[in-house]
Amino acid sequence: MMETIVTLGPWIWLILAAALLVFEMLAPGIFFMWFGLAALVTGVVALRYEIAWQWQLIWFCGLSLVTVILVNRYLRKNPTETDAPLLNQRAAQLIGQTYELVDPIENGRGSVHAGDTIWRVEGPALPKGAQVTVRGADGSILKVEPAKTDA
Amino acid sequence: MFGFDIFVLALLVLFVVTVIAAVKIVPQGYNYTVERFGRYTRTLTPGLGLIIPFIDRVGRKLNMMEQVVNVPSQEVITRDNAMVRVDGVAFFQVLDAPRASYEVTDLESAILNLTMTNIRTVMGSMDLDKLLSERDEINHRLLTVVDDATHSWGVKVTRIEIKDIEPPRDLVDAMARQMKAERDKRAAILTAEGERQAAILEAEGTKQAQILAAEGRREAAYRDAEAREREAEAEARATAMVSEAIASGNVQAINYFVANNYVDALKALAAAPNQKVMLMPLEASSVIGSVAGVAEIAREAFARDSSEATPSPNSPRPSRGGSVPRV
Repeated sequence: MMETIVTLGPWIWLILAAALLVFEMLAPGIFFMWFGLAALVTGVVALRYEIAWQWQLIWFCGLSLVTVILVNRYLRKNPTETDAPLLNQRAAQLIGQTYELVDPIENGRGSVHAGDTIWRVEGPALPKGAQVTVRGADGSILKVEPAKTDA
Repeated sequence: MFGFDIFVLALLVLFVVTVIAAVKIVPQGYNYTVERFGRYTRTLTPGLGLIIPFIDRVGRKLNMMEQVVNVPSQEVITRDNAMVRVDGVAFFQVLDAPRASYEVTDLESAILNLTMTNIRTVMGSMDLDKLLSERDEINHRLLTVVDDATHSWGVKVTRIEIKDIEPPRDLVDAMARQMKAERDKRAAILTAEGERQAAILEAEGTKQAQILAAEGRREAAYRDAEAREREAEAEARATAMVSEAIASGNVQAINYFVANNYVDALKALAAAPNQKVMLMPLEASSVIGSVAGVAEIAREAFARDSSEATPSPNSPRPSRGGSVPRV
């Protein structure tokens, strides 16, 4: 076993990289990908330069961590595109919409009927039936302001 | 060199474990809370998330999708002391993951208990009849109260629905009997109403028929009277014309008519098929007298004709009693 590994030399890293990436694809969970990428880079470097296997391993460990951090940083700057960014964010989906008050806003609190349920709202004192626009949300309480009428 | 080899291998294991511990993939619909030394620091949203191994760890994995809680059947005593069994469902959604994680222990059980106690409160304040007919109001009141209470847990209760309201058996029977009696009553009233209406319509028809018949008779009588009037008028005019004719002519002319009618009447009597005995209440001499009168008229007429023929044939003939008036 050890002899085979020694005989293969730096190629062992590229074989490992391929195997890890195959694993990743077969069992997605984003665990093997980092190691696969690190093995790939280590293999390429080991092919180019003569490095002791221990240092190759240290390279591999460091690169695994660096890959994770780099990918994370990249994703933070370029978030994954989705056509439903507000999925599972019920309150955020209501922001910008205009609704009618079903209870007047008194002492800063009232309620509107939106999305087939009743939401409590916070805003300036307004009578029942007034139109309000949702500007933000704090948990299940919507922040509203009087709706601007074009008239 | 041997020690270094072992160190390198240990390092490999450490890094593999570290990377696995640091990378957290949060699936869509979930939020993970991150605790640093046991204290909440931030929330991981769906996608790739990184935490610092050893000091950070994932605290709670919160389901951010709308969830449903089945409210088990429970007994509720209404305001009018009827005992009913009620069950329902509540829908809720976590809007604020950290609050739902740390403000309440066992969120689902908390919502369930809150809903159950409020069902008792709301339904206990209503009469049975209202309970059965105004589910919308019950749902609305429950939602308002429960949603208010769950707000501090970062949870939005979107709906609470009462599924089944089941009054006790004997009460259901009584209700069925009441409904049947109600319907029987309505049927009886409707039948009576129908009969009354039919009787009224029939009487109305008879009345109308009688009125129309009377009106017909009245009209007929009116027209009869008019006919008689017209007849009398015609008679009067005829008589006037005859008497005028007589006045301007000879009185003997009247005798001609009388004699004419007399003879006609005699003829009719004689011709009657079953006439075995002819009574003659008339004096034959009178008839003969009449005939004599006629002869006198004729004579006079002929004498006049001969005297008038000579002067001028174009001169108009004076009207005399000899001419026969048309009646």
